[in-house]
Amino acid sequence: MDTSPPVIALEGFGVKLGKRWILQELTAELKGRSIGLLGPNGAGKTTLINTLLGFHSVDAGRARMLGHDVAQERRALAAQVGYMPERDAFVAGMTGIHFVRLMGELAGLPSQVALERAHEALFFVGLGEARYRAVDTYSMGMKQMAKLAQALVHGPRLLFLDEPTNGLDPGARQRMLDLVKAIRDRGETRIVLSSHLLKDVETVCDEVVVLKAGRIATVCDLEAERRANQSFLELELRGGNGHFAEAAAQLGCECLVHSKRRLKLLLPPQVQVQQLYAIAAEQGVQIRRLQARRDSLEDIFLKAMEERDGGS
Amino acid sequence: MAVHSHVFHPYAGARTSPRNRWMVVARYALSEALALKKTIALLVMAAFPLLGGAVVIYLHHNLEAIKILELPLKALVPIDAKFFYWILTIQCYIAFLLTATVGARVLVNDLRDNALPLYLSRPLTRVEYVLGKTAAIATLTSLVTWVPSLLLVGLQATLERGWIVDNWWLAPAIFLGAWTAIPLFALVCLAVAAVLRRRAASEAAFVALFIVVPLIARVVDQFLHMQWWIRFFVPAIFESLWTPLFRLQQSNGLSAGGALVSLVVALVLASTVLLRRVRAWEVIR
Repeated sequence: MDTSPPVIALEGFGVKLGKRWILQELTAELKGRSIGLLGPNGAGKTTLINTLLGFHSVDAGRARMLGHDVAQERRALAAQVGYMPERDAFVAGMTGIHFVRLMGELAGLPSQVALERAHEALFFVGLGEARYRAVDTYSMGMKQMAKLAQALVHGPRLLFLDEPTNGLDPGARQRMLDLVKAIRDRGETRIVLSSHLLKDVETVCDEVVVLKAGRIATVCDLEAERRANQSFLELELRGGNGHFAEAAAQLGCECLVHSKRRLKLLLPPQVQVQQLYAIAAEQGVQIRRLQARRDSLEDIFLKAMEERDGGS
Repeated sequence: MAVHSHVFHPYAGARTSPRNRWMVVARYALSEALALKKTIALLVMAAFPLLGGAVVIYLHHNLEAIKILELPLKALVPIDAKFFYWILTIQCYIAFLLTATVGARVLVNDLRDNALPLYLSRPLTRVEYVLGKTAAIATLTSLVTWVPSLLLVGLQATLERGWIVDNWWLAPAIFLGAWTAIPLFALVCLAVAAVLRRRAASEAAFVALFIVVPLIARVVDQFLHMQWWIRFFVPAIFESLWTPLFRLQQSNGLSAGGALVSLVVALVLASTVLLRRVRAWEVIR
């Protein structure tokens, strides 16, 4: 049994900027190796990250990260956290190695260790050859990688990545995602990834928090969803008398989407795909396509948005 | 681990004390400032008055040289409190120039490219960040003010036995005198840079502030029939603070207490502006 504290625990958490509540009544316990923060623009993703990092004060409730109170134990937390901001962020005029070393030393690494780890971090992100160049001469993709290197240099236990693939071409985006997966798979660093790109979150994360208008719309364990939806089928049909769905329902299948030609079925464990073929043969229906798939993150996201709309 | 293995691994080794983290900021800011040719040029320039002072002290104790020069040097330039007062005054003007030239840069480079969230996401507070930047400027300006002035005191004390016994108070006077100027220059310069966020504009505004504010105060004085402008005139403030330290006669009419109030107000204002502007994220209300 996992007895480690949750990566992030929120209890009635709220943040007010000026006179406006940006985040309200957030309550969740997030334990995933890699947690995705999703939400439309203005949902409060960046404010949540900034508050967890101590940039804004907590105005309601409380938040704990890695077992430490965000408001009370900022210094202890900051040493264990790496942060890659969304916007360009570097020190003008510094070389890559100098910049990453500075960030390592600020996180508490001794000077010589910081230099060694800065070399390692820059090689890890693929900037080994460019490490003696001034950061402000880097391309957009290289700057993103330099930001990742500075977030990693001190070997954080928790890594915040705010829109890490912003402005990257497809190749660079894939490299960034591969690096994030490599960090995740090592298992020693938890990741919080904020993105509006569902595909990125789906690729990297095993737990997702969907924010909408400053509130949690849903918290979803993607791993569990993937397991739960193993017998979810999409079928494309031709012919027959239109009673295929009723026959499938009699077998115990749940029919989720029903049109004349397309069906989405949730199969109970005792029902085999062969039984569907048997019904199709009985009714003279051609099964042109049969695809086993799970709910995509897009389905989950859209459902969460609709539910919130309905509920509010 | 070799760098070519390209693998991420966490760090479980020793960490430096969080209390000294501001020194990292100071060290990097100082190395950034010292990498500039302008800084080196100003440091060299600052050496000339000190060399002059050292030569005068040397000549005072070299009777043969005085004979050759045929100058009444001892009468013209006595080595006394006034001598060190003027040395410190000249060096403070150079410290002002040095701050104006490199002070803004150490902050603006961070602000220009949004480096503050990176600094402040680490175990470093805003106060420590400002302290580090201030310490970098203070170290540079110390190198041209009290450090060489004390070396001159040391030279004089070495060459004239017993002189230091009668003039020991000059050392703390120089140290305290310089430390009225150093934080003022550093904090005002950083505050201006934090507001303007552009190097050239900050450098110009810093110089202008020390000239324009007393001028405006003087104009206001004309209308209100008051004499408040002197409280904003930095050379007068320093004179009022330094003359009691150097046991000299004061001439400008501003009391040491009044000058101290002006100095404290300026320091508090500059610190407040700095701490308001140095933030990881600015909230637009």
